[in-house]
Formats: sequence, structure tokens, C-alpha cells
Amino acid sequence: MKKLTSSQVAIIVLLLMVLSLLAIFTFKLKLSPDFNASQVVSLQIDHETDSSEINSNISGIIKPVRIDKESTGKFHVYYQNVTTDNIASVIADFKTKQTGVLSADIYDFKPWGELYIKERASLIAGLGILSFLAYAAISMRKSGLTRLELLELLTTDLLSIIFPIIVLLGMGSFLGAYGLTMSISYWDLFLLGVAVLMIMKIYRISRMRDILTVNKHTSLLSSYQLMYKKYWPELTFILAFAFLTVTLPWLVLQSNIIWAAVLPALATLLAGFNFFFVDANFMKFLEEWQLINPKTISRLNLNKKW
Amino acid sequence: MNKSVLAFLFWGLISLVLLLIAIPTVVVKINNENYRLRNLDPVDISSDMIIKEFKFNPSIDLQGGNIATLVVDMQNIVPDERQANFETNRNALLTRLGTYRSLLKRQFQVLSYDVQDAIATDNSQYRILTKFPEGMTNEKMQIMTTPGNVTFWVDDSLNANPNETEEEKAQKPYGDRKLSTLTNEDIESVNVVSDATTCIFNDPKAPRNYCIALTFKATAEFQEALFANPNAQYPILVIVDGAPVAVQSYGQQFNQADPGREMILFPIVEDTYDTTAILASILNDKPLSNVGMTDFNTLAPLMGTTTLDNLKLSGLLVFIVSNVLLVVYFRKRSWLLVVLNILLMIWSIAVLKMFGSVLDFSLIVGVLAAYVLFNSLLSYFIYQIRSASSASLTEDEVVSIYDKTKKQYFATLILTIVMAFVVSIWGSEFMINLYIGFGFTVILGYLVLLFPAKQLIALMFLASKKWKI
Repeated sequence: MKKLTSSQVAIIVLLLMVLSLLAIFTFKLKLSPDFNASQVVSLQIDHETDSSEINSNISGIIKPVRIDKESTGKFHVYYQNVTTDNIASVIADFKTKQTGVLSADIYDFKPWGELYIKERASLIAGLGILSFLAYAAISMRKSGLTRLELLELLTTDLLSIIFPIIVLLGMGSFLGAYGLTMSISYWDLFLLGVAVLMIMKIYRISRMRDILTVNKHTSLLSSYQLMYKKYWPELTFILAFAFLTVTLPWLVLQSNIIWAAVLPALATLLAGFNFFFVDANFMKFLEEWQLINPKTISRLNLNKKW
Repeated sequence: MNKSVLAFLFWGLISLVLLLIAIPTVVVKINNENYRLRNLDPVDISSDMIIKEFKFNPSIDLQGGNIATLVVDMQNIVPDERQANFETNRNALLTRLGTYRSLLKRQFQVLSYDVQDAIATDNSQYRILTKFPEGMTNEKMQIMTTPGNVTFWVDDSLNANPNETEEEKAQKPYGDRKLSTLTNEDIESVNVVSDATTCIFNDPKAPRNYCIALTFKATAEFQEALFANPNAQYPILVIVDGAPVAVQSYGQQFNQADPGREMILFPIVEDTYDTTAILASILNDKPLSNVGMTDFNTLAPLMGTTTLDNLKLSGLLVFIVSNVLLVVYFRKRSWLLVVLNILLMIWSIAVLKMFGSVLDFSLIVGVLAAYVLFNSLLSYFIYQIRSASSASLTEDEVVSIYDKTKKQYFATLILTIVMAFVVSIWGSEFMINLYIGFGFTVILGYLVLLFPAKQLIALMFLASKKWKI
């Protein structure tokens, strides 16, 4: 495989981030009725039938985001971002296709299970990243790194966590534009993707520490390259193992879950991309550009061993 | 590191017991007779156990459940106040359900629910839909949706007329008691207590198993009601919607100088934890007004009727395929990781069942994430021993690699525990469930690494060493 140059890696990262941010701001997060208000057609049918029949008769008119079946002949058909007039015409068309419709009433639904979900998720994400950085810093104690190198390492880790998370959110928004709603199972698979990213980071931190404690340390980048050289087959195997494990189980489920399974699969690929390309190039960038003034380095004792 | 017969047998036995707990219920047909094989439950040991069975609690998304439709009657409410009235009723219901859930939790029981507002677009109907996977019946929900106007009748024997006629006596609904100013608004919290020394009414020799402890807000009304008559002949009577439901327990000793804010009630309902908890939930918070239940129906699994079965099969398939991958890559030495993976899955399923976890999609995803973490951390160990497999490893080298792996796993375990606190405080229900699956499996992974793994490593590398007791 031809190795990517630093500028190529930078372009790929920037391009993916810009495209993802564009997708997030353009398509927004299409939260499902589990989290957001929706309009629901409550249908009462005079005979026993199943959701697939209702789905096939109603999806041809306007595709609902979800259908819940209550008892034998009662259904709750969920719509989001559809006007009441459009839903009324859906009902009129549906009645011509479906036999035995006793009633069809439109309700505004609002869930009460999950309040302040975005705020709480942001808080958990923030504290999670902070805890992870603390974990990384503690793991690197007495490994031979200077404080400045530790800062560089943590900055690299921060970038290589934030970058794939933005890409995952962007991919979710993009899929949302094509009909995928972000239900609880979608967010479960999103979190599985984030977990894979963190697991690969944890793995990389422990291997980096091994290298730093065994070999003579010259610079952060050289240690990383040494670690890369020694452990890339092992990491490739773990990535393959993770890809298989986090993608395969969902392929037998409904189409919306299969689409959401793109997220953990993509997260595994991004974790590999981070390990093989992003981390080393970002470390190189930080070393070459020396973003912190030498005077500040000496004033803050950043050259001291961590 | 020693080859210990006792330790080997002990962890083998533990794993066997956990396997018996982990196995799913299966029906086997032999000679036209159906035999039901089920997992090991606490009742198999003693029928007096608090937890009767080890099982996953069902979830609405994978197993379905019930849906209760509550209608808030707005006929007598002016249009401008309908939304506010609806929200007050919904919040009161949420408080009741929340109280009931937290009381059940103390008995290691789980109640999940999902509440939705459903207002007709022409404002002709105001409904509250409540979905339950299990644990709620039509009867329980009927009680849960009663208005719940609570009044307290206190002793008034001091003002009793000694010349009262039988007719006058008959007109008093609760004897020489008077209506106090205490209502639902004065109750701060409720609890179900089980104490034979306090759950007493007429017969001290026949205490109830379960009573209700009410804690009142720090207002003067409680003390006023309590000390209306220091030598009260009649215990305080609690009336809900016109029906007596509880009396003040005889067993509670009040210190008049410092009466506190708690009152123990002897409920006049079935003496079970569940019924007492439902009554306690009704006493808590504001009463419901103009709410009635119109339907209590079954609800099909939200993710489809076949999803759970498909997930079980695909989960098993992924477990097999991922372990085949380990065998292909690590060859001879892979058996150690394969055995540890099998143990991890058995331990996880058994412990999650023992804690009555809710078997939903989130839990499965959490377990899977921990499985990947376990294998990525242990791959270091296997990788090291595979690399060294051409030359024999010394005991010290094996111990050193094992200790290093253990140390790395422990650091990750600490990070997992820190995040468990964060998620348990701010996480929504599905995040908490996902983290229960992840956290439990990570912790059990550490225990597997700490105990059975040590014995298996000794078995693998110290073949020449003799077994010790």
C-alpha cells in the first residue's frame, strides 16, 4: 500500500470534517419519536392484521418513521416533519387501500422519557473525553516523556477522538437526509462506534507506554514510529476483529438498523486511519511547528520529565 | 504462579454454577412429552429467597408489553387552562410511576415505562399513553390512576359528647375523629418499611410484613394533627378518595418533645410489598383529577416480533466467527483466549440475569463493546506468547507478561468505573442500560483475568510443574 503524505492526510481529514460539519448543519440530527415530538395516526382496524400490511399500504403514500402495534387491530403510525393536511390526505388514500378501517385520528405525540437529552449527552461526552485524557496522562507517568511531549500526545489524542466523532455525526445526518431516523437503537450503534474508537486509543496508549519504557526515548514521533513498526500487525488484527464483531450482528435486522450499522463499521475504519496516518502526522506537525514559544516552555518547566 | 488443584476446581465449579444460571429456557420434546429445561433459580435452593428467579427483565423494544391509554376529561375545564391541567395530571402520573419504580428497585424488581403525551390535533382529546414491558397489570394500573385525594382523620375524643345518641354516632363516618388539615400536599416522601415491631395494629402478635412510612414536610400542620390529643384513643386514619386505606401503626412510639416528621401507617390492603408500594405511590405528590383509563392492551415489540430471536442467533454466530478468527490468527495458543471468551460470556450472561437487567438492544450493544475491549486488551498477552512460542518462555517471563496485562486491564477498569458514575448521573435510560452491559462485562472480564485465567495460564505454561493442593 502506498503511504499517504502528510499533506494528503491533512487534506483527507479536513475534507471529511468540512463535509461532515456541512451535513450536520444542512441536514441536522433527525431525532426519532423516542426523543422528539411527532404526529401520530391512531388507526383502528376491524380485523386482526400485522404491522407489515399497514406499512405496505401506507408507505406508498408517505413513508412513516415507525409503526407500533397495539392489541390486534390498533396501530400508531408515526410521522415527523409532515403537515397535518398531508397526513389527512394520507389517511384518505390509506382508507381506499386498507379494508376495515374503523377510525383514524391524528394526535400530536410528545415523549416524556428523555428530557434534556442533548445537554446530558454533551456533558457525558465532555466528561468522558476529560476522563480519557486523564487516563492517558496517568498511563504515561514515568514513561520518559517530557511534559511538553505529553501535551503533544494529549492534543493528538483529542484531535483523533473529535475528528471521527464529527465524521460519525456527519454520516448520521447524511443518512438522516435519506430517511434514517435517529432512534434509540441508532444511538446505541453510534455509541458502539465511539466505544471502538476509545478501545483503539486505549490499546495505542498501552503499546506506546511499552515502547517508551523499553526503548531509549529520543522524541515522541520516533517512539510512535517505533511502536507503529512493531505493533501494526497486531492492531490490524484487532481492527479486523472489532470490525467483524461490531458490524455483523446487525445485518440480520431491519433496514434502519442495517443502515445505522454503518456507524460502528465506519468508526473501526476511522480508528485504523487514525493509527496508520493521522496520529503520526499530527505529532509531526506539532513537533515541526513548535506552537508553544520556547520561553513559555522553560517558564512552565515543560521540558521536565512527566 | 502455581498449578493449584483446589483453585482449578473452585473456579471450574463457579463457572459451572454460572453456566447453569446463564442457560436459556428450552423445551425438549421426547416421546411426545415436552420437557422444559430452565436455568438455576434461587427457589431451587430455598423458597424463602427475596429474589425468586434469575432472569432478564423484558424490554418494550424486543419483547413488547402493554400499553395503557389514559384520557384526561377536559369537559369542565375552560380551553385556556386545558394544557396546564393536562400537564399537571401527566406530571402527577410520572411522579407516581417514578415512586413505584424506586420502591420496587429496593426489592430488586424492575419497572420500565415510557410515557407519551397524545393530544388530538383538533384538541378534542387529551391522552396519556403509558407503555410497560412487564410488571404492570390492568388491575394495578386501575389503582395507579385513581384520583388519590388523601385526607387524615385524627382523634377527637376530647370533644366527644358523652350524651351522644346512636343516631348521632352513626352519622360520624369515622367515629370520634375529625378531619385534619393534612392533605397530599403535606407529604414529602413515602417509603415501604418491613419491621414487625412497628407494623402493628389491633393484635401485637400479628404484625404486617409491610407498612408505609410517610415523611411530612416541615410544616406545623403535622404536629398540630398529631397532638390534637396527646392521649388519643383513636389512631390517625388515612382516607383515599373516600375509602379508608391505612391507620397509624400502634407500634410507632412518638417522642412528644421531638416527634420528628415520620408517621408509620398500617395499610388496610393485601399484605404484599407490591400492593403496599402502589398505595404508597398514590399517597405521594398531587392527586390526579379528571383522569380515567380507557384501554389496557398488549403492545407488539417495537423493533419487530422476530428481532430478539434474530439477535440471539446472530450474536451466537458472531461469537463463533470471532473466535474462529482468533484460532486462525493465533493458532495453537488461541485456545486460552477462546476459553476465556467463553467464560466471559457465561459469567456476563449469568450475572446480568442475577441482577435482573433489562434485556434490550442497548444492553446487547454494551456487552458487545466490552467483548471487543476484553479481546483487544488480552490480545497483547496472546500476541506475546505466540511470538515467543517457537522458543519456550520461562515462568518469570510468563508471569511478567500476565502482570502487565492485568495492570493495563485494571487501569481501563478504573476509567470504566469513573464513567459509570458519570453515566449513572446524567445518562438517559438507554445509555444507562448500555453502560450496565458494558460495565458489568468489563468488571467480569477483570475477574476472569484475575482468577480462571491465572489457572489456565499455569496449565498451559507450567506443564512440567507438579499440581499442588
